[in-house]
Formats: sequence, C-alpha cells, structure tokens
Amino acid sequence: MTKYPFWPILNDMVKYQPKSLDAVFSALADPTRRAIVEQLSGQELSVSELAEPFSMSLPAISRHLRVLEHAGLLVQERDGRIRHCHLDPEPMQAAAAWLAKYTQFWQDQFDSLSAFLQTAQTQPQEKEHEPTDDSS
Amino acid sequence: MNQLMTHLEKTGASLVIRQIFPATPERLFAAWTNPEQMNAWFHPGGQMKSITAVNLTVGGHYRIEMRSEKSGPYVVQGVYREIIPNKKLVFTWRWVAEDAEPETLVTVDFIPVGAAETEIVLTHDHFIQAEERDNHGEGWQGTFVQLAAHLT
Repeated sequence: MTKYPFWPILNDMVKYQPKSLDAVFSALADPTRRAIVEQLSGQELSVSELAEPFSMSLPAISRHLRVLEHAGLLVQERDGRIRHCHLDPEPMQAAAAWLAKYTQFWQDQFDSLSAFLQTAQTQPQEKEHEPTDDSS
Repeated sequence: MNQLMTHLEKTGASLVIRQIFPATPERLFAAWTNPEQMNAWFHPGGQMKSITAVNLTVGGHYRIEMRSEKSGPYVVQGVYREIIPNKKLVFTWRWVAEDAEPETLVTVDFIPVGAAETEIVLTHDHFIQAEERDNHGEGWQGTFVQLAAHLT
C-alpha cells in the first residue's frame, strides 16, 4: 500500500491534544515573557533573580510569571521563603510542533498552488490580460 | 527551543510563510477564492482532490473537503473576516473533526513584485480569541499592526 507522506500532517491536525496551546502562544506573544523564558532556559532561578534584568516592578514581573504558569510553561516551587522557577518543556515542544506541522502544511499547499499555476497556464480561465499562447 | 524563540521573536507568536509566485495578484486572488480553482489545488498533495464552497463576503463561510482515493475527507471551514480584492484575505480556520484544535486565524497578503509576480505572505495565528489575551499589552490586533508594519 502506498504511503502518502502528507497523511500524518492532516491526521495530526484534525486530532489535536493540548487545548492549552492558545494560552502558550498568547503567553509567548509578549516580549517580556519571551525574555523570561529565555532566561530560564536550562536553569532554575528565584523570582527575584528572574526580575533583576527587567526595569519593571516585582508585581509586574509576578503578573507575567502567572501568565506563563497558567500556560503551563513555568513551574514555581516554594522553598522556604524563596520561590524558584523553572520551565516545563512540554508546552514549548507542543508549540514548536504546531508551528512545524503548519509550516509543512502551508509549504505543501504552496507547492500545490505552483503546480496548479503551471498546468492552468495553457487554459485561459480568468478575464485578466494573459497571453493565451504562453507556453513557458 | 532556540529555533522556536528566534521564530517567535520575529513573528510575535505567529507562523509566517512567504513565497513568490509567477502570477499577478489578480490571478492568485482568484486561485484563492474561486471554488473551481480551489478544488484543483487547495490540498497538500497531488493525489488529493478538494470540494470547495465559498461565500466570499465578510462574515461569509467557506468549507473545503480534501480527500484522496484512499483517505479522507479532511474538512476545514471558517468565516471570512476581511476581504480586500487582490490584496488581502483574512479567515478563520477550523477542522471539522472530533478533538480538532480550536479555531485559528489565517491571513493571506498578496504583494505585487514587478509586473508579473506576486509574493504571498501567509500568517497563521494560533490564538484569536480576545478573551484569551492576558495583560500582554498589545492584543492580537496590535500583533497584526506590528506584522503589517513589518511587511511593508
């Protein structure tokens, strides 16, 4: 049986698991939150360590942290009086997977459009001005 | 993760794909909106066919069924949010299936390049619900304004 390479793409797209990708993408749409995520890459930091590079109040940083936490991107753990933050890689991977899937899907669509433009070239269909004997 | 972050840096959490096609904006806009033409190409593979219905008005629906001999149909549908003939299309995108992902948003810009070519810039945004937005200041309309500025 022939394997169609695009089936996994479509199958993946119509059957979809994480409902929370909306929250992940909206969390990552903010540059401060992206900077926070990048800071936490490969390490764990306390909230005050995280807040330090930003010229922003601690409550403002905490608001961003809550958004990231709500999206499942960030985990806060209390160790005595200090809150430590680290990333949960799963939502990032899910977001990256979504982007990869649709990048592939739309590129395949564009390939299909290119092929269509070539085959349709010899058939005058539209009313705009195109040479009808164009064969290149 | 670095690749993802670089991408998000540039696009503000949108997926953006661009390609130049050897056709005028008028021809491409027709390919994207005429149901007979969409039947011929709007599917990610040569063995597939599509059945398309389009009501090309703001608030109007479209529906595309993609299938091949052995598989499908895969059905996607949505509503047109913005239509600028030969320049721009904005439509929601939702797979009709159990457990399908939530509605997302697609923007297609048709940008003339010289006399006979067009760059298509396709933006696919995962989140479109205004209520999903948190305090990130801009909102997705702001993202679009940024993106439009980025394109020109």
